[in-house]
Amino acid sequence: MARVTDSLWLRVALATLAVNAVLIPSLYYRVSQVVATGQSENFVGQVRTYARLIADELEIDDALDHPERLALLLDSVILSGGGVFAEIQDANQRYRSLIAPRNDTVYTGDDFAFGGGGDQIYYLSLPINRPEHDATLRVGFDESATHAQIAETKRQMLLALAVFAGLSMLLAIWFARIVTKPVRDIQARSRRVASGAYDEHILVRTSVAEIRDLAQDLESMRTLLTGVNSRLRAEIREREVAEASRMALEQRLAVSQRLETVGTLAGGVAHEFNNLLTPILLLTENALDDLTTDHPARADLARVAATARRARKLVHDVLTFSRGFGTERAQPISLGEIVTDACDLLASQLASHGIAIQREIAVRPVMVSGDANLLHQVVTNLLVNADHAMNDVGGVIIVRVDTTVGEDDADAGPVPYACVEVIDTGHGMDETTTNRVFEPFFTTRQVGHGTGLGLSVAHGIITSMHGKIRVTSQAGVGSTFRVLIPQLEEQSNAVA
Amino acid sequence: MERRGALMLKRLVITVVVGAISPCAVAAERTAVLIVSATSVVTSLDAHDARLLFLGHPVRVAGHVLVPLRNLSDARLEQVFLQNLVAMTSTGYDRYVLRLALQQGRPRPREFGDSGALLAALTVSPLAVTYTWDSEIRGNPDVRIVRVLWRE
Repeated sequence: MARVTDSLWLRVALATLAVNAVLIPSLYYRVSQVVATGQSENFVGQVRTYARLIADELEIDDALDHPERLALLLDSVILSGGGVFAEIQDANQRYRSLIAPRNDTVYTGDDFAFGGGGDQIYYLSLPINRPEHDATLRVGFDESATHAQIAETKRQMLLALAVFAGLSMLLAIWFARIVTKPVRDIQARSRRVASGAYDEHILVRTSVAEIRDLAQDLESMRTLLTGVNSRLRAEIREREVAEASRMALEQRLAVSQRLETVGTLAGGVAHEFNNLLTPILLLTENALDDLTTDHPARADLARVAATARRARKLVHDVLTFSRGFGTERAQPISLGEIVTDACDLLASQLASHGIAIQREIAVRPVMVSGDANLLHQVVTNLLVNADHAMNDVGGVIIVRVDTTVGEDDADAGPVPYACVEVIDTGHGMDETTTNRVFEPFFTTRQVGHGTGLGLSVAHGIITSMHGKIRVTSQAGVGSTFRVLIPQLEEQSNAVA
Repeated sequence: MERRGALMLKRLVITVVVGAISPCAVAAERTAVLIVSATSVVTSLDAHDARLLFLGHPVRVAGHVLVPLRNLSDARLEQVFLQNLVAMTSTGYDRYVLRLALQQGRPRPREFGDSGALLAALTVSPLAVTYTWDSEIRGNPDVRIVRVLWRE
């Protein structure tokens, strides 16, 4: 309700109505006065002049001496002058026109104003100044025609004013509509823009220049704000990406630092442990050499030697994780051949668990610099890891070898990498497990089913080759291990 | 009975007195007349010349140009002047006289709001012509009636 009463068109209509309510009655009253005055003055002027002419005629003529001529003169007043009453009062004689439409009319005295007497007849008398006569001319003229004319003029004027009032109201409402329609259009478009439809143009078709200018100004503002908004959104997106990248790097750095710490500790322990194993193994082997083949202690010593060798292997693996391998052993190797050999080696074992290997190895040679045996060990460890993850359900392990231009240190920028991906559809890992998967001795398997060094060793080998090993995993879905090793420079140049 | 008769007599006396002094009784005797000074050369003036005179046109009598004087001392007399002498409405008369004054330089008739001043101006000017009620000049030897304008 308030919205209706506050609307422009209603206010304009009410204002017009108020103006008309004041203006039209006063205008009608004033114009009616002018019309009535004009008509009545015209009537009075005419009858006075006419009566004067008749009186002058009687003064200069001898009609008063001839009654028959007097009667004709009085009749002519009725016939030609539109009179309703004409008589001559001469001493005791009274002559009167007999053709007057109202012979019962009685002279009631002179009227000096239109409408006087209330009898619709304007009477006037003029003395006839002649020596032998003391006569008076009395004439009367019908006012009703003039009254009717005034009334008709007033009626037409009233009708015209009513039409004017109606038209002015309609024009006012029409004008208000012309103003309010584009304004509402602008309002609707502005609201759509405010609600997120930034492509909505605030342009309206209107003949009102001020509203057209307003729409253009708003459109300019919208364009400006949309541009600013787009820039801000782009900046926010860039910052989000940068933040995500920074967090990922920080996470990797944390993992890397933890692995380095663990590697340093494990390497130190392994080194000292290796020093302890060396005399144990050496002296045990010497003792075995000194004992006869049937000596009862020989079996025990052989068991001690075997255990010491296994311990040395374990120490070797730990040292491999912590120190990698010597670059002096590096040589150009074909990554595809290494992966193919490893797959061939484990294919039958995996098949026995219902697991197939899907190989997607690039046709062109993918060359890296490293130790073939260690790299073979890395691929084998990844495959074994996938085997364990899929042991219960079987499936397909995807092994992919290709090149890529990937991430590197911020200073170095993207570099060409040889890439090995091992994708399984096993039970996957949660985030905590994923973050610790390369730590030495960390395992999710049962006790006795793994040392927890396989992935640690693989990490150590790849790191020593200046490569990276990444894992993405989702519990219940599977894991993807991605090994990135810098390509040989000659090959990368050739590819480039 | 005596009391009732006295009351009727009293009413009759009041009616007679009031009727005698009422304006109607006076008005019934009123006559508007056109007058000049007793020493004026004008002896008579017909309706046409009187009209011309007060409309501002020159009217000569014995070689002299007459001078019209308007009497504005009485509203009814003014109505008689307009209706019986110039035969115009008030607006029409003013417009006519003004038009003559502007177009031909004719002087407008002098106007007097006081009948005493009017008669004084009339008596000192033998060429002046004016109008008034005959009751105003009854017994006045200085003025002369030249025409009856209206009888009530």
